[in-house]
Amino acid sequence: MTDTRMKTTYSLWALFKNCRKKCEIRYLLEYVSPDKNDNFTYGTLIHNCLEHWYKTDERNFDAELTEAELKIDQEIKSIAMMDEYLNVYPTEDFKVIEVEYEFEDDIINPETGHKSRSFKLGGKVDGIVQKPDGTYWILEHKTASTIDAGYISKLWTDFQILLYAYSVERTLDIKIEGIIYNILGKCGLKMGKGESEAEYQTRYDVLVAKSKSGKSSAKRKMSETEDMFFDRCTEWYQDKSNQVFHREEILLDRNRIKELQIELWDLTKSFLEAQKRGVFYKNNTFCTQFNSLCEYYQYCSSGENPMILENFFIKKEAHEELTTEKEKVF
Amino acid sequence: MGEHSNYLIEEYYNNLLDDNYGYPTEEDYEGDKMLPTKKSEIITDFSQYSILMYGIAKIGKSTFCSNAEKALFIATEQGLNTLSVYKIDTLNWQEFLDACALIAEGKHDYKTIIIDTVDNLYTFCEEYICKKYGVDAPNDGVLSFGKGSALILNEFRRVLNKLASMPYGLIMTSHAYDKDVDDRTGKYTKTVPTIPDAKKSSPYRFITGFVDMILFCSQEKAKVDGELKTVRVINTKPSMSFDAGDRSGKLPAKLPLDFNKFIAYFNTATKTNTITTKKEVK
Repeated sequence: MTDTRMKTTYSLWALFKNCRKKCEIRYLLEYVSPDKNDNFTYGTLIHNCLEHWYKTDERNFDAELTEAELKIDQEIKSIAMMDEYLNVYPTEDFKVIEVEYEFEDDIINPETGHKSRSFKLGGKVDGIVQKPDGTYWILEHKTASTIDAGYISKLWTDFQILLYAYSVERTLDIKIEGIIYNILGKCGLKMGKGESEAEYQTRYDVLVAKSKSGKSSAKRKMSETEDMFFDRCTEWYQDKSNQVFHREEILLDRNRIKELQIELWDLTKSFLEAQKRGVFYKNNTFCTQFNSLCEYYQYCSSGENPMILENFFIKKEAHEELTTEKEKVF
Repeated sequence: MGEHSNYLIEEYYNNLLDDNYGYPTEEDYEGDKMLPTKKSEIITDFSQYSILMYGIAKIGKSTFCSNAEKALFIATEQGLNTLSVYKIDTLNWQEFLDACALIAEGKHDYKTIIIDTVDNLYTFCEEYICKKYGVDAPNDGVLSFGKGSALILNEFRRVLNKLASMPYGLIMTSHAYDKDVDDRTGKYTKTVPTIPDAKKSSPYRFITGFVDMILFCSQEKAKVDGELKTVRVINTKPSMSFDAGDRSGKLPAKLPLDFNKFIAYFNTATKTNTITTKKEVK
């Protein structure tokens, strides 16, 4: 029998909680902004490199770098990061069981144990590893600009991975002990642009004016070459390797999973209700987050004129991070 | 006290149960007086629509518009010299506001207002705000950090909304240019209107959300009477190569750039389908 249940992910439910309208546009109408997000691509590249490393034990990431098409400075920083990562963790004390494990699980009513007939939960974890003591752990890669106390404390509130860990247990029939967060710090260095002749002349004149001798030994700053920038990034990672590479282990909190299941079940009921009524209301406080407008703001403020979506957005299948049904067939 | 609060809690939960935990029951749907009792009226009057029409210079946008029912042009640039039309020439925002005030008085029988071009109208609005705040450019001095762009768009929106709420059709014209796009789908060229489209405070995106149709006028080769000829067409559906749109979704993707033929198609579509205009929504 064909499975007609709608595929959902944690991202869908998190978005549904925050703004139902945005959730409808992204996951039901399937429109996304065509803009490139460099930070996202950078994080994806590191994930792909790590996937390659844990799958093959090979240190060559040329294919991943070519595919990512990043700007040269981002590419250089990625290579420097991976080089130092492999110096810090040349071998692992765990055995890699699965890499990029994708699952599809039922959504269960925690009160009755019945599964949802309308929705299923899909997701992907970066890896599943087994420690020497025989326990299984989820390996989760994260790239971060700063790894401070705030960042580490926030890992406890990563509900997505808790829920996914529970699904991994159910689909692979193993007991997950916890999560190993593999955090890689991003290098904040910028490639030196150098100065133009005019800029140099202005700076030189200021220095000469300040100098008692009326002279200055200042030279024109030249643009940094790719090799020079790579050396600087490598040095930066070597100096800070104990700060920018961090592993944090968090045990699975079973009470939390129960709470999340209750919440998830309740969300499925609300989603069905919204679909039935055809009303996905907006959360206006979500229109401006982190001091920027929601990507769909112009659509919502136009009284939902479809021409905004048709002309300024592109159709992209929901849950693009997961394998599509079509890909599965072939 | 304790007994009383227990009673309140019990009553609260009973109400929740009665209320189906806040969700509507089947009865709620049946008895809902807000639900429509009859189908919406089909809007067949073309002059009830708000339209953005764009294309390269001299392709025939103004000629097309001049055939609209009882058309009044608000000209913001030269280009109507070869057409015999009713027009008001405007050179700045204040003159445009004065023209709008005359239209609002209603002492006329015009049915369609044509802003030719809306690109220049936005420039007028920009100049007006800059002058008002004593700055040279929209994001200079007191208008820095994007405040200027936001103020300009607010003023522009205020006036166009008011104009659109009047019982007249509204057609805005714009020129076209080829934009190089580099996004998730790759690098390509797209023809779009010349209305500014900054990331924040984009007048183009505001107009897109404001109108019922975006009509892109272009030329293409087609066989006419067995001969390959260049024909002028109106595109009504968006593609990777240009922006366009038809809120009703009922018009064919391509139509001849000829007002009478366009109206004939439009009437056929409206007689067979329900089209809801932005005005009706309002």
